[in-house]
Amino acid sequence: MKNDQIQGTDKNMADIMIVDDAAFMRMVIKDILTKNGHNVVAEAGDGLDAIEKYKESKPDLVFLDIVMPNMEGTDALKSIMEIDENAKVVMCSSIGQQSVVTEAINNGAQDFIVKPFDATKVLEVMNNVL
Amino acid sequence: MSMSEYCDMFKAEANEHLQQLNHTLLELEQDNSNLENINIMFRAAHTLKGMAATMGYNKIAEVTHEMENLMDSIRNQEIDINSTIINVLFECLDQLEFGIENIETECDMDISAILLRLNEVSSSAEKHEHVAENVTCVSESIDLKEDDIKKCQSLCEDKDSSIFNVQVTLDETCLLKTARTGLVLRELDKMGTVVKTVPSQEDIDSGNIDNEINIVFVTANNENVVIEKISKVSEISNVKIDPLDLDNILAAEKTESMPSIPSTPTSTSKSMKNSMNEDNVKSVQSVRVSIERLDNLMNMVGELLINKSRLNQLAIELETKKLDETLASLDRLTNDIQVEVMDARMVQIDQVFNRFPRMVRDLSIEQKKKISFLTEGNEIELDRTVLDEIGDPLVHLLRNAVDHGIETPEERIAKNKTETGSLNLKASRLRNNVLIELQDDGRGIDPVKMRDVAIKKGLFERAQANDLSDREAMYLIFEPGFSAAEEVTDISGRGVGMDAVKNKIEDLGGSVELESVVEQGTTIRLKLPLTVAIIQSLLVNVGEETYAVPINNIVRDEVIEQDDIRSIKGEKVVNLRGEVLPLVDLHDVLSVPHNKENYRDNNNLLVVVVEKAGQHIGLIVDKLLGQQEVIIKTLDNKLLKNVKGFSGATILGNGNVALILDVPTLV
Repeated sequence: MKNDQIQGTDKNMADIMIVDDAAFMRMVIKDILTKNGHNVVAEAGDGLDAIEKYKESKPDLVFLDIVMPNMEGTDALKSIMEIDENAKVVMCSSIGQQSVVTEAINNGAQDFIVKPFDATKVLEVMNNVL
Repeated sequence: MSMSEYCDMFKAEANEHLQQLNHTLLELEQDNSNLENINIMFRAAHTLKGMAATMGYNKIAEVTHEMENLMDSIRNQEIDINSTIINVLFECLDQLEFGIENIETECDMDISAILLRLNEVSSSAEKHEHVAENVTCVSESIDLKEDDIKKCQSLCEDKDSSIFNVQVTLDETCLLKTARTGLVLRELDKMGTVVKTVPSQEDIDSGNIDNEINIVFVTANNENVVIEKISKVSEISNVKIDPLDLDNILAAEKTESMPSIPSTPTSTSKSMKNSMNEDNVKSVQSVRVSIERLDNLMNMVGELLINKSRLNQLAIELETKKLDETLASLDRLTNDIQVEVMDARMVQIDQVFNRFPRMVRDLSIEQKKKISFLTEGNEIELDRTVLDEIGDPLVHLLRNAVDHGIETPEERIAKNKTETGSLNLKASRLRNNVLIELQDDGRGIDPVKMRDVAIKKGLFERAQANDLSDREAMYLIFEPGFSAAEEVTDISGRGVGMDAVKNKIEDLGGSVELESVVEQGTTIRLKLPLTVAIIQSLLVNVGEETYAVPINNIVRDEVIEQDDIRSIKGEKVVNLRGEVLPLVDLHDVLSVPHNKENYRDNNNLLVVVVEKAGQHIGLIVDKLLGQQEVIIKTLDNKLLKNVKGFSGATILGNGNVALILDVPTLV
């Protein structure tokens, strides 16, 4: 419903959740998003946390890091897809994670971005996914 | 957020990851069978890499990338972990620490040596994958095999579908081409059937892929829909779609059977699952605040407390009950705020302790000593300002212990001691203080030797030295310029001495105690205040003036008789139940005239007994006003900065200013 609304009217404002174990990386993405008028509704530092926060905040889009303590992003992705099959998840990956990202895509990830993040790419991916 | 703010945040978090890497690597060195430690290191290196790359710190990113590769090889059991690898990893951490410390010149950092070392250890077990097929694949027009054509035909018969050749060009900058192609193929799968790809699915999976992919695709959708859908995938620079005429292809086709290719991407990833580690602390959401801001906040809380006391006083003077309730709740609130602000400044002592295991390890290897080093009470919290200051003194004490305290294994065996020396660093909370205890089971400090050195250095004549008690002789170690080390080594016995340690701790309002038994070991105890901003103090009157004496320094108070005061070598002392207590009259030290009225009768004197470097000293005062929590205002203007004997001033409830006595420099 929420997603439809955004797609139908305006892509300007979306509710986003950022998952990364490094607060620094969360800050970087958050800065890019908020500067472009998006709303970061939740941040999580690991996979388990991400699942909990996803249930609470029901974001339009999730930026999900892969290598994290407690639960990896790939496993968190599966759980999130089980909770909400229409979940829009973008994996945050690095060079050398080809196979993991491919697996994530097979498991329902909508897209991925590669570190270091480039603001235009992050926004391009967002617009494509939403 | 400004670049410098990003940079600060990067540094702070990068250091945390570095600390974790150091800590885990030390554990790994003890027990290399625990694969979870490899995983933790892999993750930390990986996270660091991402952060560094984001900031454009490419040298750090490069080193962490190679570390990550090495950890991955170990994890996949392609390489066995050994001491060489651990040493190289430690070197990497040093390099990273250097890079983070000197982040402004990170780009000039020379990492060729460390990369070479990493390369050496990784190449000892060269990976076998990817070597077989290293042929670059150039995508050309599609060559359909018989099976493919049959598949197309059957698909076209079933539905009202047509065959297309889709040519997708990826962005030059696209980094994970396999994954990106996977996304394209997934989009196509939703609309129809992918019959064949060039490069082949296997090549795509193994990353053998250029910027261009050709796909034979059967769909009932029209061309524009296909183009639109694929264009929605990120990092695609161009999509071209052409109808394929099957008859033409059939005519030209020389049949040659080939196995068909799978039409959906197969998962090739290996499982990266990690066993869950309960020890891992769940990350807490937090905001970084500069210590300056907390200081400002603390100052304001201080002002608030002073005004609260003023209000209380005014209410008493006005003899009004109306204010009571409001004052009581104001009292509670200000107290709560004070506690909160103080808490916000608290940092776990682990932030200082956690770098020591690594240091002791390196030192013990360097000096060929065997040392088991344990830390305890790492969770104890201390004020940030105190914590920032105790690092160097502790480093010095630890180095002394390793250098002079603990003996070599041979020497220890000869002395009937265990081969491995033990060194324990323990923090604990003692009321409003934190106690840090460093205990070793080494040589101990020999008072006889100390006296000899003191004479040799010209500090004392023989007779004077012999007069010193064993305890006093041991405490000589804290004298400036005194070093009991017979030979000066690289590590200690040069530069800052124990006197610097003592001065630093006392500057912080703490104290240093020493206990040592020859051949059994030495224990050094540092007593530190929880915070430097607020202290418990005893308010005393000297003449007409009010002074605050920090409770930390106070042992007890006594009433003595003027007649009992004796003079030894020109110094006043009193014999109290067998203890000879040196006396200092604060009137003399502070140049305050005696106020005769304050003597209850002329013979009785009030004495506050304070402790300085383990020794008791009696301060003669006129009146005890009571215990009070005071907020220290530092005397940091030019005029008062170098005045000895005071650690600051505070404003009392009645608005008067009271100086806070700094016992160590006063007497």
